[in-house]
Amino acid sequence: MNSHSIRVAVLAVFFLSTSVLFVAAQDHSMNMKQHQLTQKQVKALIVSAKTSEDHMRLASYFRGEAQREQASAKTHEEMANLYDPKTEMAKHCKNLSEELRKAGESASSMAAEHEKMAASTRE
Amino acid sequence: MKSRSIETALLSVMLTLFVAAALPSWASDRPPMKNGPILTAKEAKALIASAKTAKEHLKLAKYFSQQAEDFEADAKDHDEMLEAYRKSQALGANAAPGGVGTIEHCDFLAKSDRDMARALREMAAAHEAMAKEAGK
Repeated sequence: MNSHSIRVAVLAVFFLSTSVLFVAAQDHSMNMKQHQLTQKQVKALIVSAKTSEDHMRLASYFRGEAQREQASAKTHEEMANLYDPKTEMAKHCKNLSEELRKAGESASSMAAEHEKMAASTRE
Repeated sequence: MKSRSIETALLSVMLTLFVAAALPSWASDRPPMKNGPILTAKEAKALIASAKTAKEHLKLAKYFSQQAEDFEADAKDHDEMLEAYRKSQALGANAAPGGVGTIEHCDFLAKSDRDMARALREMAAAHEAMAKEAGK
């Protein structure tokens, strides 16, 4: 085996393994998207939910919503600190942050309600 | 000579496979062109700290207007969810404890979304005013 063949083999292994990694990453991302409910699916599931699994899917949706609200609350709190504290903008950002935090808590409570419903349908 | 041709062909096949596998991933990393966010939260924070020109303030105004639109859409979604919960209660599907709780929370979320959208519209208007001021 000459040095050219070795170089070709190394490059071939590199391209092949990187391709496999790309495909695996895309597959993982597709799976994650498939597990996320759309708004339309959420509304339909709220009406039809009967099984423990249905309620756990709704709980998971609301947990995700709670996380998004809490992250957004943090962003608006950081924005409030960037404005002059005497301005209306700073006040708006602080109020938004507070409102988002409450919305996050409410979404968490909805997730907890669905977890309770999941537990009671399991019994 | 023949083995070199085979090696080159093999390398070409591998390279094609690599590009084919990587292309969708690179494409998905690009921000969406239509209806995508005007700014990321990180970019918005940086711009709030540095905004001086009319163009920069208008960019922030657009960012807050877009956020307001998102909250208005969320409010509509929460209204529809509220209706779905009422319907599910009427059907007896959600007779388990917590049925009333979900309705109350959904109602709160819809009202909260509308309040936040209003505040964001005011922020957008304030940045539009700053843009006018900076443009003078």
